[in-house]
Amino acid sequence: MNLELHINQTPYQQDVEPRLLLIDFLRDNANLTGAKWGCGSGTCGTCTVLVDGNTTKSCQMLAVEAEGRAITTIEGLASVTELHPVQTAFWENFAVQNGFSTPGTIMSVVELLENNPNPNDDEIKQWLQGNLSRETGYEQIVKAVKEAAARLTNQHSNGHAPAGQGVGQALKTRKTQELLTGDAKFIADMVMPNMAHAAILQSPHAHAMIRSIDTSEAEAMPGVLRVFTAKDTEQIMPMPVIWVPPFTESHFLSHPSGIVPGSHRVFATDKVRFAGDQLAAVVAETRQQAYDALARIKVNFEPLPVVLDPEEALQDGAPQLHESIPNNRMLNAVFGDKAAVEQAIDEAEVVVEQRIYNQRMMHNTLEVRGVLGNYDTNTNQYTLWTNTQIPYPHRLLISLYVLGIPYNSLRVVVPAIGESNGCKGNLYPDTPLVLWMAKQVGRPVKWVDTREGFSRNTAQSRDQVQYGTIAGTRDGKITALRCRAFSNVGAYPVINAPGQPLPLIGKSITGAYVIPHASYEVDVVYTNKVPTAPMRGSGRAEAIFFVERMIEMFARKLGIDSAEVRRINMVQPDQFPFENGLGWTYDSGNYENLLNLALEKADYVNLAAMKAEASLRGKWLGLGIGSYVAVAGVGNSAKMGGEGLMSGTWGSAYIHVAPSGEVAITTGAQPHGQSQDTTFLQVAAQELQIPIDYITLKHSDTSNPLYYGQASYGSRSLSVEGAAVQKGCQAIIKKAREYASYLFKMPLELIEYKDGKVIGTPAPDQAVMTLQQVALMLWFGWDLPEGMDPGLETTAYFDPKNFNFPFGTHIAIIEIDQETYQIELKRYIAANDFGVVVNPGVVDGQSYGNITLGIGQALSEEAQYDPITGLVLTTDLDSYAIPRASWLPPIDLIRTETPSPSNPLGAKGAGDVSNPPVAPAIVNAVCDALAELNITHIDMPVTPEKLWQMLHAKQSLTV
Amino acid sequence: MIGIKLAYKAPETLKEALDLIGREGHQVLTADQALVNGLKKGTSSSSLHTLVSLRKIPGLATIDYENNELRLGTSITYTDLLNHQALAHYPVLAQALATIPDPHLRHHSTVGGALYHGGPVHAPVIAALMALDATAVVLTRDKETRLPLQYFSQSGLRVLLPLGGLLSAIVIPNTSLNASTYLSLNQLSGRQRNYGIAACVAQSDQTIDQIRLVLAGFTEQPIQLKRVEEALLGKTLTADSIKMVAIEQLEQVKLPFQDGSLPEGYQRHLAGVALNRALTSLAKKTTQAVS
Ligand code: FES
Repeated sequence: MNLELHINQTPYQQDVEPRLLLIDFLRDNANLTGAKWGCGSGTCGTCTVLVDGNTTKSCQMLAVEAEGRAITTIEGLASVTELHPVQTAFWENFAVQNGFSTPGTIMSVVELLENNPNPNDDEIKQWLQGNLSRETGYEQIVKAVKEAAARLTNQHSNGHAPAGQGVGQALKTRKTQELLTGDAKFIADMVMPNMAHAAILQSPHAHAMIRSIDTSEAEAMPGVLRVFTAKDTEQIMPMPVIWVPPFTESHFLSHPSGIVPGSHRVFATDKVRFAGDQLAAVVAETRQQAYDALARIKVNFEPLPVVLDPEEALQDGAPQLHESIPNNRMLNAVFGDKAAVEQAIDEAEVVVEQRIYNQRMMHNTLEVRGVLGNYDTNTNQYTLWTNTQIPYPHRLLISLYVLGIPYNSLRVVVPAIGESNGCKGNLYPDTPLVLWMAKQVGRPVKWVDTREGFSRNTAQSRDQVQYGTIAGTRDGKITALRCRAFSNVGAYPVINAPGQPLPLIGKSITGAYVIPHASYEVDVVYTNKVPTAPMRGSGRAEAIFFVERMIEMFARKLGIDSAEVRRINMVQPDQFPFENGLGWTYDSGNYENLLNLALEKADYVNLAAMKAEASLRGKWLGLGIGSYVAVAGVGNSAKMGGEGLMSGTWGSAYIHVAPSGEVAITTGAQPHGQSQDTTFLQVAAQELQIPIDYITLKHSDTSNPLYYGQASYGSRSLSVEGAAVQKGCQAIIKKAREYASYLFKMPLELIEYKDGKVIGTPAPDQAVMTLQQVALMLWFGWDLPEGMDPGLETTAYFDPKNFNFPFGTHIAIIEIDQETYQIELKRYIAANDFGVVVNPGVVDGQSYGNITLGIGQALSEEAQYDPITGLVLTTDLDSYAIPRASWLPPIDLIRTETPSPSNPLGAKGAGDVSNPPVAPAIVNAVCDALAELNITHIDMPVTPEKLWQMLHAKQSLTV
Repeated sequence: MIGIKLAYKAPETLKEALDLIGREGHQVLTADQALVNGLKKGTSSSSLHTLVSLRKIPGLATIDYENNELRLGTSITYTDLLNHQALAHYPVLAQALATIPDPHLRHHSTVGGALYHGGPVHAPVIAALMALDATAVVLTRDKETRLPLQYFSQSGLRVLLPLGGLLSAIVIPNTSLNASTYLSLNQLSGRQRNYGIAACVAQSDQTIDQIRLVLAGFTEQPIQLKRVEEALLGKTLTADSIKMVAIEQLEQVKLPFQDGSLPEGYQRHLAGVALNRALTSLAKKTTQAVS
């Protein structure tokens, strides 16, 4: 059909299929990729554009229905010279992290401010109900909207005073403009000449034998280039597993390398083990053709019984997933002295027991995963573009363990990337498959997942059953803590499968407390669910939820204020370094101080009055505390090796000072929304004492000049990779001083480095050179001291001796409607200590994001499965509801800075570490609100219907 | 992406449109976003192959308020309605619309779409229109029929438009209501269905002459609580009558709950809370109006 319309005031005319969606027209036909495809169901808002000035989710409109309309996309907002005031306000208020949801949100805000020039917080949050943020939450967005409103109504003309560039300054983030304008290219936005498209068939059964696959009809469909099944991919090796705990017997699948164990293959061969196992793939000229053909593949299955529960899976007679793995048990591991713990429990005055289920979560990043593979026959080079947070491990694992190609023939590039929340830190079978298919068809091949596909093939997380026992004295001293756990890892192990259920949980369960006897025993179990991988707060979230719930129940049983029980047991400032008895050595801090600050902010002393007032309004009010310590800053490499991780975990940086004086740093970190482009440069600018604009940070490409990058995960980037940057800058300065010492003919100790210059202190006006002059002279290399190489460059590594341990206390105040049982968050206070903070604006954004995700876990999110078929039921963002702007209460952030001795920056992790206290704070608040009704525990997500059921059951019993 | 192949027609006259939608596999496209989502999820009828867009037909996107009667063209969006001054006469409708804060949904949900597609987004608006005794003007090739909105909900299940029928407008008749309200129980939006109730009352001397109570979100299509309404006729709205008459009668009403993931008992409990709160609110409003 002929379609004519205007986009950003430019006329467009094209022949289109009636079923083409406006979003696809904009992205594929008009090459305007600023509108992003997030959910496809009208929920997330990443595809928002304006149609005749009206906020419109372009995934919900047929392109033909836009006939004659005027469309404004994010690309049409900024002028040639200036950003739109909304874009500027977003930038200046740190409302942009990875930027995937930014264009859609900005477009909605533009219409809001047209209609309502001065919206209040509530009006903004209501308007943004249809624009989700899964990275930074909404606090900074609301601030940005208000500031944009002020700019547009001329109440605020000058913007923010520019922050300084040094450590501790809220410097505006770099590489942000392209995210604001929609120019940044994410994986789905990438196009190559002659590119073909892939679609991958997932199993609709959670457990079944594959009897036959008939691809003949699909092969005959228009545009189809090839259809692949397991018979084509026999030479592709299974996915590797690179975490094998040395201290226990573990059961994985075999791998032909003989070096590592294996996991699933790119296509299931004889049997599928979860509804999501890959069966076949179509490569076609267009994405639509690939998916049309995929629907024509016929697979004949013989269904088998499914098992979804880890405790059931361990039973004799349970369905067996892998013939070689008895009772579906991957491993059993114990941390701590079980016998001593038993004895302490037996001797204790007070003992509390509770079963806790930390529910299965879905990362549900708004950007799904995608891969673009290319094989160049002229150079024998493979190039893989994908939205992973671990590009170097992809290069190594795919070349060495999956495709068996030379490491040096594979380049991995990460384009702009949406949030990961941990799920993009895994190697999925689709990734090497797409690269391999590109070679087979002799063309670049792109695969971008669907939301439904994502729900079935992308790792999920948490999912642990814990049987807890806490014991202590009548006056509140905890003497023992025991956790017997069952972790559900799904059908196959991911590359680092044991990491989360073993050390990250097992060594963290004592939280912020001195507990003389603690033990953790876990069975890690295969079931017919989607495989699991770390998720924001990984492991620490399960551990902190456990201990913070147990301590709350312990305090309740004793009849002592739970804040006081925390104080009695908290690690004290004079106890550092503190061995927690399970393997962690806490580095530094004043835990009680943050608890007290948070309580004060929450007006804790007036809690009884708050409850009484709420009761008059028909509400039960509760206050919940979540105190935490979270291990962060992975390595040290030797310690991680001792845990079974078959990889180093050091940080690395390559620094190069060009003859022009410009500095290029390649980091081993892999930013995916954490703003290392800003914070690492702040560190470097402070060390090198030069303007930050002289420095560039490189990452996201394994062809950059760096030996290897261990990537970003688990709040390690700044304290490990950032410390490597700092160390590298210091090495550059050292060489510059040594060279100056030679040139100036002065002893090294008389050469000072200051303000970006080397200065011979005896004659500072004559014996002085800028860093640029030093770099130029070293580039010439005409006159070098004995043993000195030309050039000003270095590679630096940093492997910390210990992890670092951020800590804090969060407090949630909630109200429960006494009739509807609906829960409303009234206030949230987050007191954190992340050690030395480089950029408070960036760190606050991380905290808001963690709080938002924790609220989701506490109140809403859970991966649902059909108990009979094992199919994932929560396949979109309607059935899996993540927090929206209106869910969030006002949030108060408090921060102290206790430097960590584990790294020279004094930094502690700040990325995902403030997630763990959120869920327990909220659930503790709910239990506090219902204390008089004798509710002691409720599993997450805490929903009104669950509360009704519990209270209803209690009432029935009373009657 | 939409998996099924589609044809698309955008007739310029009502007659052409009526000719088309009388044919098998042809469906009206009302500028409402719900259909597209259904097509993508594959939930729309598999026999559907031609969409008949109403966007070029003049006169379907008008709002007329005359002689206290409000006529809403089928292509009127919720934004159009929210911006119209006549809405001030219908608090129940205004409050129902206010439960849909997402601007996209306001701009791309239409009065016609509510009846063509149903679903959670439209439930509050349909409930409000049912409570206002609105009628649907349905055209076929040879006649115009007026159907009460209640026609589209049989015991809480959705009833489709008559085959080949084109909904041209919804008409809210002149009413003698003293008070009306839409009460929403939705809290964490998106997490649970948009539960609510539309309630309208006409009284004389504190005695109920006429009352409409329509639950939204609990069942596939909003459900009118006729049994409760009848029991309240001639009564005065007091805490006692609400509890002894309304809530008691509600317990006798069969409610085919739609959300299988929630315990039925909880949904019934919520329905009771909604009814109680709505009637209490009406009682307050009518008392205030008298004083
Ligand atoms: S709302 Fe369109 S992609 Fe999510």
